[in-house]
This record gives sequence, C-alpha cells and structure tokens, in this order.
Amino acid sequence: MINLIRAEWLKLSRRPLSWILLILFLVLLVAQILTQFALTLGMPVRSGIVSAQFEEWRRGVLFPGIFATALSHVNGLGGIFAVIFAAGAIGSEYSWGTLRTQLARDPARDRYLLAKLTTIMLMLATATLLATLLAALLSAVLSPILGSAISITPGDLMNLIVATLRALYVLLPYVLLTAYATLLTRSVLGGVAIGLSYIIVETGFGALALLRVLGGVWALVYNLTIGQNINTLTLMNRHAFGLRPETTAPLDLSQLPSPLQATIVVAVYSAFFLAFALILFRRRDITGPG
Amino acid sequence: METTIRTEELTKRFGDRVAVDRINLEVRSGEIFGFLGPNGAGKTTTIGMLLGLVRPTSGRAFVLGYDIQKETAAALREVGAMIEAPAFYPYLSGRDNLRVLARAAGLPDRRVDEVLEQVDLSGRARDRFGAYSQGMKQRLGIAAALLHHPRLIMLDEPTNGLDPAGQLEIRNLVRSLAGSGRTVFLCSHLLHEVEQICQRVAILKQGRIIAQGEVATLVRRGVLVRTIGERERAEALLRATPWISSVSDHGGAFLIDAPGDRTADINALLTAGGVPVAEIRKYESSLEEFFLEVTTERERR
Repeated sequence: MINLIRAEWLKLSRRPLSWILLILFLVLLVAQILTQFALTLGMPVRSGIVSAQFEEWRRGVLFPGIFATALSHVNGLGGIFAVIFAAGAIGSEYSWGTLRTQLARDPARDRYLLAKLTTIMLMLATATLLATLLAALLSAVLSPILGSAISITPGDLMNLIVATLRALYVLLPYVLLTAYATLLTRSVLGGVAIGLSYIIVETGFGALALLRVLGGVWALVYNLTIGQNINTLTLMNRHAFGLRPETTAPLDLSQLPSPLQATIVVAVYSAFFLAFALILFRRRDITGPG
Repeated sequence: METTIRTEELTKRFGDRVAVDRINLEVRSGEIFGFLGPNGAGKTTTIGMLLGLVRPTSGRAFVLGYDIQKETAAALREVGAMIEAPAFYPYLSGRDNLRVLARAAGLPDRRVDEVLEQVDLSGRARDRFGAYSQGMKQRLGIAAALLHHPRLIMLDEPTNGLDPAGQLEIRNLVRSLAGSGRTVFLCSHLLHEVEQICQRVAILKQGRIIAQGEVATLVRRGVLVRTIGERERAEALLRATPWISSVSDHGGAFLIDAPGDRTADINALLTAGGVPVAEIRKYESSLEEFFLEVTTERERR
C-alpha cells in the first residue's frame, strides 16, 4: 500500500493540473483575504448588522480568525477544486489507458483505488496546510496595519489541528462521490459534472433548503443531506477561531444538526460512496483507453 | 514440456456479441508464441482475460500454473505485458513513467535505468512521454514489461511504428528474451515477423481459434504441379508413388508433399503416364499465405 501511495504521489505531484489547481486556489484565497482587508481598512462607523459584518471580516483577517478564513476557503471553493482534482486523478487513467498498464501488473483493485484515494486526500491535506500557512503569513503582514498585535495561543494551534482535520473530513464525501461518478462514467468530465452538480444543487441554488420549509418528514430529509450536516462542521471551525457568522447571516443555529449527527451522517455518506466505488471498480472489465 | 499458458474453452461475451469463443490455447515454456488474427478477432480481449483485466464469461485460463481468476496476483507477479498501444502519463518523462511502475512494485530506480539501457532509450529517458515518437513509445512499453524480471512476456504489436532497423532490433530483443528462458506471447499482424521469430502460432478469427501449431507445419512446403487436363490420371499416378506422402489441391494445381529435388522425377513420372505438364516447381508457402488461406476459407463457408 505504501509503495502504491508513493507511486500515486509521484504521478499527481508532477501533473500540471495539480499545480494549476493549487495556484488558482491560493490566488483566490489571497484575493479573498485582501478584499476583506481592504473592506475593513477604512471601516466606517456604522451600526447594527452592517457593523457586525465589517467586524466579522476584520476578525477573519486577524489571528486567530485568519485560520477560520483559510479553512472556510478550503471547504468552500476548495470543494470545487477537490472535485476537479479527484475526477482528473481517476478519470485520466481511463482516457490515457494507464489504468490497464497498472492493473496488468498488480491486480489488487481495492488496494489500488484506496491508495489513489488516500493520495488524493494527502494532497488535499497538503494544499490545506499551504493555504493555512499562506493565510497566516498574509495576516502577519496585515495585522499591524489594522492596528492589531499578532497573537497565537497554544489553544489556537490545537484548534488548528482539529479544524484542519475537520475541514478535510468535510471534503471526504465530495471526493468519494466524485470518485464513484468518475468510475461509473469512466471519464474526467463525468466525474466533474456529477460532483459539481451535487455541490451546486445543494449549496449554490439552495434547492434542497426548500425541503426544510415544507417541514415534517421533508425537514428531516433535509437534515440528513450532506450539505446541511457539513454546515454544522464548518460552523464549528469558524466558532473555534472566534468568528460568529450567525450574527451577520440569517443562520438559525437551532435548525442545524448536532456535531455528533453531522459527524455520523458524513461518515455514512462517505462509507456508501466508497463502498459503491469499490464494488463497481472490482466488477468492471478494464478495456482500452477512452 | 512445461506449459506457461493454458486455456480451457475460454469465452467472453459482451452482451449478445461473442468476442472470444471457447478457445483452447497452449503456450509452452521458453517458446515465442505468435497470436495472430485480423483486427477485431478477439486477440486483445484474450490478453485481457489472461491478465485478469477482463472477466471471462466461461472457461478457465491458467498462467504459469496459476488459475488467473483465483490467483491473479501470484500469476501477474511473473508476467510483463504491453497491451495494444503503450499507455503512459504524457506529462511524465519516460524514466518517471517507469519509476511510477517501479515504485508501485517496490523496485529500486536502478532497475529503471537497466531496462531503459536494454531498450536503448537511456538517451531520451528524461524527455516527456508525450513528445516521444511511436517507436520510442514502443520501446518504453517493452521496457515497462521487462521491469520486474517476468518469466512470461506478452507483447501486443511490439514493432508498431518502428523503422526496419528498429523492428530488427526488437526482433533480436524478443529472441534474446526467449533465449534467456522466458516465454514470449507475441501478438502481431506482421506475419513475416511472426514467421521469423515464433516457434508456434495460433490464428484467431471472429473469436475462435482456426489454426494452432508449429510454424514449420503450418507453412507448407513441397512441389507444385500444374497439368494440362488429365487431372484424374495425374492424381492417381501421384498417389501411387511411394515417396509422395500427400497430394492436395492448391488453386487448381497439385501440391505434392515430396522432396523439392525430385521435380525432375515427378515430371518424368507424369509424362511417362501420358499427362502433359504445364508447370512444375518447388513450393514453399509463407505464413501470410497460410493465414489468408485459412481466414478466407472460413469466410467462404
């Protein structure tokens, strides 16, 4: 397994797509932080929710709130990048015909797929760490301009470790759904289309949120969707670093699933997607490219 | 002799289409075995089944004594294969592509350099695979097949895209691999190439093996005689001659299984028997002729 992960790492770390996605992801993070900084630099004296929003942006640029900003970026735009990255890593093996080259040597398909998924998650973890580091560096430069001292407590660092793991856990079901979709369609585009469609339907249009309005069983169904449970986990990350998005957005905390439920529901979805992917991959004939 | 590949009624169906139909193959250890057939005959599907990539619908396959469906990993540890066009990551160099395979197999990078040297690709090893010529891609495919010291090597069209010098080099490499005790299973549509290097062949058509045996027995040798009429009398005379072991029809002429240096005796025999001879000569068919003969024969039926 370690050998396979090393081989996958070599492949993915040399792939131009990996670097393009990483650079784009980091550039967008920098753009987001600089925008927040610019908005708070000449923060006008306002009252009510507008003031709260400006204060929230300011906290998001300073320590330790900057960690929440970085991890929020990972679970926001990062989810889209993760879907493209995972679909590319799996689907290209079909289009280039390299899957056959690999499996003609080592037929352990479960091990191969698990090694690939592990490597994808390790790379996403690396990207998350880089994003956090870059955000911290940027905050260290911007904090004095905003008249704030740089202060990180051991507790913040402990929170950072837990929050980073939580952020990666949030990405897991989307990566596994994309892996399954890519194997099903045997193509990068198929994986990207299904992975992104799910994210868009769930978050972009808020289509599933309509279920909550219907109440009863529908509200229960909504509370069991990936997005709703992930909201709990991402909110925990923000709270861990002193941000309070509920003060600036119409967010009813009482409607969110509990952290325990969120953790279990995400695990169940992930287990299902992984099982489907493994069963499909095990049964499929591996034919030529395309 | 030990058997390296054996199939028993191996069959693969894709929906209603039968890609491989109850084939029984036998490849012996240390030989170069040619697997021939027109495009779409089922060669690659058969290789896919022998490598555990494609699940047979029925039948069994044994590779190096292992049941390929039950002991795939054990079998593939000793098999190197290049299937159809060599497939590698276009953005990686030739060397890095092999390093990926070597890492997965737990082999040191030193082995990568050895096989690159063996296929004469060391000079371009650091170039991107996507920038390789077809010939270089073929060489890299062969290098990948040799990486883990396999006992059985399956090569699908290994000389595709190579110039004549490159083809000769690969033929020599294949010969040397077999000379070192390895078995080579060679898929090719270049029949003269197969004839030159293979000991035995199987010909596949529409998923079925229509001929299998030693090249020497499939390639027909003898004396070709064309008479002017008097066919029945000529045949009776030839069949009655003790040193002629067989007489068969060959496009309106007789193909006689007799030593090539007895053409004068055959001529004398027929003219003495009152049969005018239009043509008499030594005959040696190529594998290509045999291939065309058996494949078109089936079509006529």
